[in-house]
Amino acid sequence: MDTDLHKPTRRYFSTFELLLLATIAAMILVANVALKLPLKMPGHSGIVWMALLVVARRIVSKPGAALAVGLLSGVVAMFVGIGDKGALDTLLSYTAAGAGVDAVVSVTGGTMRAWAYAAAGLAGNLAKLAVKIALELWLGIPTGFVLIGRLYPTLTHIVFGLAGGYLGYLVVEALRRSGYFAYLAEKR
Amino acid sequence: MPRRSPLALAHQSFLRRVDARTKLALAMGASSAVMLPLAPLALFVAGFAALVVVGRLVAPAAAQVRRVAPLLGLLFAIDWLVVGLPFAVLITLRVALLVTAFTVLVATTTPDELRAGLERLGLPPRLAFAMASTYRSLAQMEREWQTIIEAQRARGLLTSAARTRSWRLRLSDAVALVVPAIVLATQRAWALSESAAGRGLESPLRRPHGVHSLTRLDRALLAGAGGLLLVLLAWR
Repeated sequence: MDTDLHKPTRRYFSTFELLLLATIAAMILVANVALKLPLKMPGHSGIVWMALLVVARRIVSKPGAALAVGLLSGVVAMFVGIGDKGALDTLLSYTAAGAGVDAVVSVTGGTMRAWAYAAAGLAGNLAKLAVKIALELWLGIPTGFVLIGRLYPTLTHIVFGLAGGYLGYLVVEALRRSGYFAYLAEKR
Repeated sequence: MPRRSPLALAHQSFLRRVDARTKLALAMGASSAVMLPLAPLALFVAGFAALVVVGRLVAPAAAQVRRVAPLLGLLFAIDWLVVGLPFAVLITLRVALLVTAFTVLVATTTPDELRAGLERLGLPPRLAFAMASTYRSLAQMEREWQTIIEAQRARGLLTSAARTRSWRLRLSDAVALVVPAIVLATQRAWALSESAAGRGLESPLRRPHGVHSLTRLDRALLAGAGGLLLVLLAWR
């Protein structure tokens, strides 16, 4: 029993990191509703959403951090009724956005350039759109209809995804200048 | 924030007494049934609709369908014109089933009940706790966003005059909004992790809360839905 109690448990995310990701997930949900921009363009929510995902992935600098945020926000979004195409679409969209950001940040590694952040935002916003397209194809809607119908949303998702990633870069830079990362290192 | 209060739960539904794991399985089964061809799909939709009516979930299910009504109408019209009526009906039924499939879960389950159900399915307690924290943080996070917005407006940022400025200035306004929010989130996460550690969340001796076995009602629902799906798949 004693050995069990004193055996060090190595966990991928510390409890603090997990709760920080959970708090950012809540921030995404609130931002998606409370900070709705007066734009009638598909994918515009991606600006703040992708920025927060990119920031989460940089703050908790481990592969899977943005995916965890996406999954947590997706599960809770199902319950608060966010999304207009049902709970499954909501859950998968949020999770895919996190996975997209995670994949690009993992590939670009330690690159701190603006383009890497913008690319991550782009991947996240396009992954979100890809889920909608995949669900439409899964339902049997003819590919031609889907492709024509999703042409304009693809363009807007690209623009807002890039803008969101760039906003994430600006936020990370501002956090770095303010000494946030030294403060965070103390907490860890 | 259009958050559902606990009062909006369908308390009168018999599905409130059903285990979250069963409802999750039902929702996933209903979502996968969209792959069925027209005749078996129509039968499944009739069975699902009966469950929704008996479970007194007509209002939340109808609300979901209303949200996609314009899309449904447009799809129906185009599919009918271009392909034919049976195909239009098939696609409409599939979309309607997919958007309402999870109503049996989300309209009758609290996030805490889902957390407990997922823990019983093997989700690590720390992850389950993080999920519950996300839900519980929503109200506070909303207040914090509002406070930050008001503070920035008092400093002359985010005003209507500012909205007419260039994109670059708008982005820097957004930075001024997000940075304090991230710092507050970090402080909140730290306080939560300290209190969770104090309550033994990280203890190696911690066990999940009560292990409940499925009731007769759960088993009946699972057997009924599973049996129906299997028969319809075989018919296909």
